[in-house]
Amino acid sequence: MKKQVWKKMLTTGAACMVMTGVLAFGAAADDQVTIELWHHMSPDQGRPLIEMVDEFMQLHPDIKVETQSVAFSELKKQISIGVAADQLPDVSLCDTVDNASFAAMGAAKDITEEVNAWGEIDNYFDGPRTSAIYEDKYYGVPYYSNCLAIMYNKDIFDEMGVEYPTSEWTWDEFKDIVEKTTTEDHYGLTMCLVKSEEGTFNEIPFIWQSGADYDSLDSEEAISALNMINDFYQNGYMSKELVSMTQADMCASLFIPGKSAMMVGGTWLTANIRNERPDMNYGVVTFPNNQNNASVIGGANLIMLKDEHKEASWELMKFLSDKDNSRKFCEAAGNISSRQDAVADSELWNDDPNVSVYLKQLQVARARGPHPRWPEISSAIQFAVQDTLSGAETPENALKNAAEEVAKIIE
Amino acid sequence: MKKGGYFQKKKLTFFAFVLPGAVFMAVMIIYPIIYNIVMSFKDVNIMNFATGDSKFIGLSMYKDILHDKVTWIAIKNTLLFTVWCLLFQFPIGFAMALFFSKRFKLAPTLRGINVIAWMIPMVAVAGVFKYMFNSDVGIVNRILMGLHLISSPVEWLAHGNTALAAIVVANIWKGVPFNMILLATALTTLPADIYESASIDGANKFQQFFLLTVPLLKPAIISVLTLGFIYTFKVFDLVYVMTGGGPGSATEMLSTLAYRYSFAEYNFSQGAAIANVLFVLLMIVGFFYIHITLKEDKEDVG
Repeated sequence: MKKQVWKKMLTTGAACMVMTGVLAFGAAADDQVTIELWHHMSPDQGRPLIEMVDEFMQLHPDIKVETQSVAFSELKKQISIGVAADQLPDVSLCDTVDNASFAAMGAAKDITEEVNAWGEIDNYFDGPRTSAIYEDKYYGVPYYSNCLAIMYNKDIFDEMGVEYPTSEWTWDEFKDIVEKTTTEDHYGLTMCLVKSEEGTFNEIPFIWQSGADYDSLDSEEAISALNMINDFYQNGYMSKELVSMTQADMCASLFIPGKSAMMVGGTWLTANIRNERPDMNYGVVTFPNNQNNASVIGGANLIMLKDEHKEASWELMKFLSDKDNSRKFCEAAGNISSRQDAVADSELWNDDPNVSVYLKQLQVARARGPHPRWPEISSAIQFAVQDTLSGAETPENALKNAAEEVAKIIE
Repeated sequence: MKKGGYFQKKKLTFFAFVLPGAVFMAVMIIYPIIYNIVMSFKDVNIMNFATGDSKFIGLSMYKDILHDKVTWIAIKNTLLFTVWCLLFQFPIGFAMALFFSKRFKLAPTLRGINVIAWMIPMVAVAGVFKYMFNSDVGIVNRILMGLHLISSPVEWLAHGNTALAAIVVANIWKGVPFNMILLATALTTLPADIYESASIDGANKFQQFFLLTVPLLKPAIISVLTLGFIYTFKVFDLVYVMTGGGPGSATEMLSTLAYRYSFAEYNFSQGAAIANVLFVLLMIVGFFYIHITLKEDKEDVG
């Protein structure tokens, strides 16, 4: 009751402000619709998006799009606050793994009808496509995809006389190379171990390769994965700073300057390397094999958060998702299009010696969850890893605690 | 009749002055607090956040968090952090206030420069200290190794105790000027003649300090300590940027825990309950402060 009264007052207040705004700016074309688009991309990735939005506005003079950049770590918070305050943008990008959460929360709108009428969704890769589904309905359209693989510094490998890894390599060979390439001057491996979704994103491929998953964290297999990471960390094959570094940080301060022989790195980091050190002599190889051959899918989906300008919003989402536009954006931003047909058209993804490895890795990449309470599951994994690395728990105990947490969440 | 009208008018003026403040308080402070308390008695999570049909669950959220190990770790960390910070911040700030109240040529300028630390945004301070404590390239390890105090680099932010220590150091650096400026201002209000008569009576500098300065500054000292306690206790940005509460939950504070529950895991009620624990603890400190200041005032009148 009370909440509704407040809501009404807030809405009235907002309406008054909007009206003053309209009056102040006089006769801005009556029939022009303004929609707001939020995205969480850094300048390297955001620029191509903004150019594309400008192109959209030229084609649709009746629609004005205001883009707003929100930090990746802030976006989830801003959208959940937006739900409470009734101040959401019309359209937003969101991390693929959060799409189900926003659907469950009631923030993302059901766009199944539009998606079906559009008739293009079958051209998408399955992994990204399923990330937009919650309870058999579409709550988003995949915008771009990426996945992790291993990037390696060829100069360091040459200098140490170590052969470049191939897609056939195993965990044992991987461990061996990590140890061998560690010297005074550089670490053997760099991966993100931070206490956020980025950490889980880097850790879970190893859990999958071991044969475990988030619902079997206390299994022997999961323990073997954490043991491997922990050994690298405790033996000094990885920097101790990785527990508080984001992927962009670790790429910029460890891999690009040549302080690490290998890195668990995502597709988009090829764009960062291109901008920072275009002449860097590096290669990309798929993850080492264990029980499974697995990587993790990342990326973003376009979600609609308001009904008000549904047609204009959907028009924008369709434009951005168009086959050619999707290809153009993803090539410029260092991502892989979520559309199979767009990827098939691209020379970059098929022929570039590094980027094409990611395309190959994407075939075995899996989506996290999808589970509306994935953020809590993810949190349990992050704690298991950090508690182990800091020595607060043994790998076995840390994973047992995590498994108990997860069991409570998914029961 | 005439008198009544005067009073009426006076009352109106009174309300006119109070109203803006009262409205501001009600909207910006009291409403969120009540909203938060109500939320902590319900089960607001990701599934029912937008629809608003969350169940009323009474005190069970509090029962849950008080049985959760992490809550106690956060309370312990927050207390440890606050106590360590105050133990250093206050004496250093006091010493600097005494030093800069001496009349030498550059005293006001140097005092002004010192306050800059207090004006730098916390996020920037956190970023700089995070870099300084970096085990690979940070200046802290360089200096300590140069002085041969340590033989190999210390991974400050990777271990629980050292991470907490690093955050404490960063906060002390930022908190000292705050203590200094308040105490320095209070020092200027002390009458010079009592020191004159004290030295004529043969009191040495130590006696003057402990028997005159400290008792005379008591109200200021209490304010500085209480405000310092409150500011330090609700630390957020520093920890969020430097360690994110990690590794594990080694530097988790009540504030970062509330943030994580609400905005990383979407358990809004759990986050609200933790925020209320923080609120209650600070209320106790606040009441204690008001109690002491009222007592002081009474003593002054007496």
